[in-house]
Amino acid sequence: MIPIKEHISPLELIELLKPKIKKELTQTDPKNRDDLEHEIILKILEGLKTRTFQRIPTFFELLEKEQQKE
Amino acid sequence: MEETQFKNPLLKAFLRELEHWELYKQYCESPSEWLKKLLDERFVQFYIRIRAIAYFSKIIYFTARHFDMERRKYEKRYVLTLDSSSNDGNGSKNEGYNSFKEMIVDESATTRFQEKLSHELNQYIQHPRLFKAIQSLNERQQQILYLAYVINISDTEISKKLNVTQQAISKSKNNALAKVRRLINA
Repeated sequence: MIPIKEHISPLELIELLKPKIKKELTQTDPKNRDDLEHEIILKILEGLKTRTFQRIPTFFELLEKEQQKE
Repeated sequence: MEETQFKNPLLKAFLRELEHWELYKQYCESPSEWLKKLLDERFVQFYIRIRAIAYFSKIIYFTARHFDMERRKYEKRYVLTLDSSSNDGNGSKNEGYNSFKEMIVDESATTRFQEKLSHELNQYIQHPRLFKAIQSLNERQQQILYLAYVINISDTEISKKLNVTQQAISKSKNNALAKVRRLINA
């Protein structure tokens, strides 16, 4: 179990996701966009707090797999 | 570049970054525990970002959908009187959306909106050729076209306004349109 928050800071994550947030904002009417943005950022931060990834393959595992295929 | 030897898209993307590629080359030339650790670390950083973006993109998508759904539900339940449609929705699709607040009369206004608008048909034409064609019509035809297309009222209503029969209006309107069409195409 690897928690995401140990690897990415909240600010960096939000910066990474900015384009996607922008895109989703356009689907609601202009007067609600700020509200939606806050909602989304809240959800991201909540997710960041709790979300863990089960297992992350290491670089050399993938490398080995790749070489086995050949 | 040699990196094309990798088929795994993750490895490919990872090594596309110059820094990673340099590290990897260095490792291939002289494998060491230290380099291995560094590469692994970098890979975890890289990988977790991709996973996080994929995961949170979904969250963003669903949050936005959910937000809109809730908002719509709320607006449907608690309609603000002034924002509601004045003609119960059936006219709003073809006639443009009219809410009650748009029909409030400004008591303090000294001139009315309609008075500001020009009553000349040719003031509404942008295309130079069309403008010329319209100019060549006689005044009555211009007036009929103005009433029909700017004010947007029916032939019957025009006929009442001008005190002639509806057929006469239809006829001179059609004549005028035919003339305009001929002049534009010429």
